[in-house]
Amino acid sequence: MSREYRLRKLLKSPHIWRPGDFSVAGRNHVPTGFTKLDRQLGGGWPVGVLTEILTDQPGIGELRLLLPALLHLNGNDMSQANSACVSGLRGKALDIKAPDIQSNGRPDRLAWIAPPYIPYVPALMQHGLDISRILVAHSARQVDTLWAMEQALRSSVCMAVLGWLTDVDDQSLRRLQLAAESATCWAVIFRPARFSGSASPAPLRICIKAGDKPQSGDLDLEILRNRYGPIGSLTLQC
Amino acid sequence: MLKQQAHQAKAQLQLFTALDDSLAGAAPDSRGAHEASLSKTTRPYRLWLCIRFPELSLEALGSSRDYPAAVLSEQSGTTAVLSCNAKAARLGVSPGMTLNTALALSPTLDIRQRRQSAERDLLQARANWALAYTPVVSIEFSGAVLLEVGGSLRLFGGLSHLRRRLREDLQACGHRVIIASAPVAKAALWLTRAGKETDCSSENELPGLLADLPLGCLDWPVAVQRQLLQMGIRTLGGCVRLPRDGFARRAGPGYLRELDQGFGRSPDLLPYYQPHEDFHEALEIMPESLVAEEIAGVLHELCSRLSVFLRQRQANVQKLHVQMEHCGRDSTPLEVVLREPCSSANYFLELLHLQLDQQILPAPVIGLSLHAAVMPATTSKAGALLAGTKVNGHDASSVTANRLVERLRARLGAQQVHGLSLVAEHRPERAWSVTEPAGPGYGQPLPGQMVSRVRPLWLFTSPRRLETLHGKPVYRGALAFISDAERIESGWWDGNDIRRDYYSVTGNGGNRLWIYRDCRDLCWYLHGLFG
Repeated sequence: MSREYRLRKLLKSPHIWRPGDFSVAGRNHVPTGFTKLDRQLGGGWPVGVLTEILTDQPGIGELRLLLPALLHLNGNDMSQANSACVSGLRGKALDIKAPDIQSNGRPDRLAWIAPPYIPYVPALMQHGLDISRILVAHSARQVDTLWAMEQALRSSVCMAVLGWLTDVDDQSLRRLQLAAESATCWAVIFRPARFSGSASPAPLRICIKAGDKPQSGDLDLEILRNRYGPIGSLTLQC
Repeated sequence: MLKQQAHQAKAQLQLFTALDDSLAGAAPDSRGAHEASLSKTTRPYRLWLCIRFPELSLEALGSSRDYPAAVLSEQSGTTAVLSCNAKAARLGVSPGMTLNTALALSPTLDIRQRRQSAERDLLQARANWALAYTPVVSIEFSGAVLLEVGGSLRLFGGLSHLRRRLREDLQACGHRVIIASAPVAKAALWLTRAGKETDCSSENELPGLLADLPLGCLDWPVAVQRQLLQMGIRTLGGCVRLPRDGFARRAGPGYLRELDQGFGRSPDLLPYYQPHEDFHEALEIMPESLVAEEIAGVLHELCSRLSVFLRQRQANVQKLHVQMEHCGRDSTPLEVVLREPCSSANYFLELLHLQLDQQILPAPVIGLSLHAAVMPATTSKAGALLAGTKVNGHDASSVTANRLVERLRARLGAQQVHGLSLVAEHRPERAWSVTEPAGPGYGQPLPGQMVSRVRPLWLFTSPRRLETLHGKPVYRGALAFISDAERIESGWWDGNDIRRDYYSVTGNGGNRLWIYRDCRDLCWYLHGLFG
């Protein structure tokens, strides 16, 4: 057998992963709303796996990063979200179209588990989210937060589950990962950036810092781990 | 026999011709014959079964048969033995003895005080159980349950089969029973009081059976019984043979009526037992326990009884209330409120387990009681064949959403899980409110025109006071103003009026903050974060 043939056969083996090889067949993605990020993530936020977002300061823009995807899940037009963000800052009156809601037995709730502050309803409505689909659960202890996230993921009524955690061990994160896989639900956890060095089974880890021009909504993303594309940093405007 | 059949056939023919004539508009005097024939052929057949519990006071207190036991009661100032079990009777203890005599005969006698409330509860529990055999049940509070089984004989395969089944079930619960049957309820009761387990199938046999019963089975006051004994009457047959007006004058018209009712000469109306609307049962934990598994075991038993209760009534439950009793302290409550009625015992148990795990028990638990308000089920829940169809007006997914909310509430607390809604308010901290997570029927159209300025995605529960440097607010470094002031002045009508100037600023780390300057105390506060 020729050397090239043996090499090709070896490279076809499933035990080898090549950085340029991003065809992960059968994986769902939720479009992020930013073309640069879409390209880097191989189509969008991965559904059915845990996404970990690390921020050194809360409120730096992590929610704005997810909003277009949440609106897409809501069934709204994504451009509405972007225009809402930008025009609202300049002080124009916003006209929101009512989303057409017909729950057809598909998961449609948005669960917020242990949010650090109050999710402000007028702002969520300005951005176009459907308030009636939101379920907020507060918990005092980390173990209750983990349990609540697992319940929400396994219940298969949620299209997205957002959880806020701090110091979590590897085992619990693995359980969450399994729960997300079982329900093919979009699961996002937010942790402080000091845990960027600790081990985590999440296939997608992004660290967010503010960009150079924070007034115009710049965000510096550093992708620490990415199963679906290259790691690296990129700047987005949202 | 043939004559009887011929007579019946003639009566039926008369019935049909009468109906025919009435349909054709016949003369009214034929209706009289028609009614007379109806009354003879269509009288319902009734058979009353009386179950008497001779050791009710002992069984109500839960005493076992392994050791001698007796129940005391206060009678005219003296405490005397009311009843005792077989072991005590063998040692010589008998009803009517004083306490000292009983203890002298049996030093290890287990003495209990009579609890009439426990006896009543036990009789009601047995009446509830008897409802499985017939819908017509009546309680005789002296210690018997009466069942009308005329309509149930066919289902249960005959009277002897039914009696055997009842006896086996009750003996399995630890009761000693005397069962007798008669067409008249009072007659069956008298038979059991006399200790005779006979079956009387027709009213013609009644006088013969009842004639030999002693006067004691009537349970009349002692004075009346003594009067009759002095007249030389010792049996029911003797009472009945006396002239009626004389008997009524000496004993009383009420007793004469009772005799008439017992012999079937006049109708006897019994109050029928109505089962409770709600489920309420209590179980003791012996010995007292702090171990979660034992408490959970008792909860399991209560929940399975609840589901049997619900299945019998085809009903659902929306609220469960469990009280865990402690010795000498207030009981600890556990409450489960469901968003829609449900009848599955496993689900109730799951939610109660979640609550129990979070509960810190202040003292060992000696008993558990479960109370549930029962609602009739509207329609049975059938699953949806196609994913998009609506079941009973709800979507299939909203049912599981309700379950998720109930589970989260069971562990985190009912106030910690909620939905959000908008409030028409200018004051930012009141522009939202906590609400029930949306059930079916959500998705109302949003208001078209919103507040003109953009609002932060996160709001603080209470605004944080900011330090100032040279008159400018600082928060972890200097703040750069992005927008100009937005004055919000509102709320004079309920005393919480505000006058604030809101600004969007950028902090040192690059995050955008929403701060305001209170125009009254001229201080800067941080109220929210963008993004």
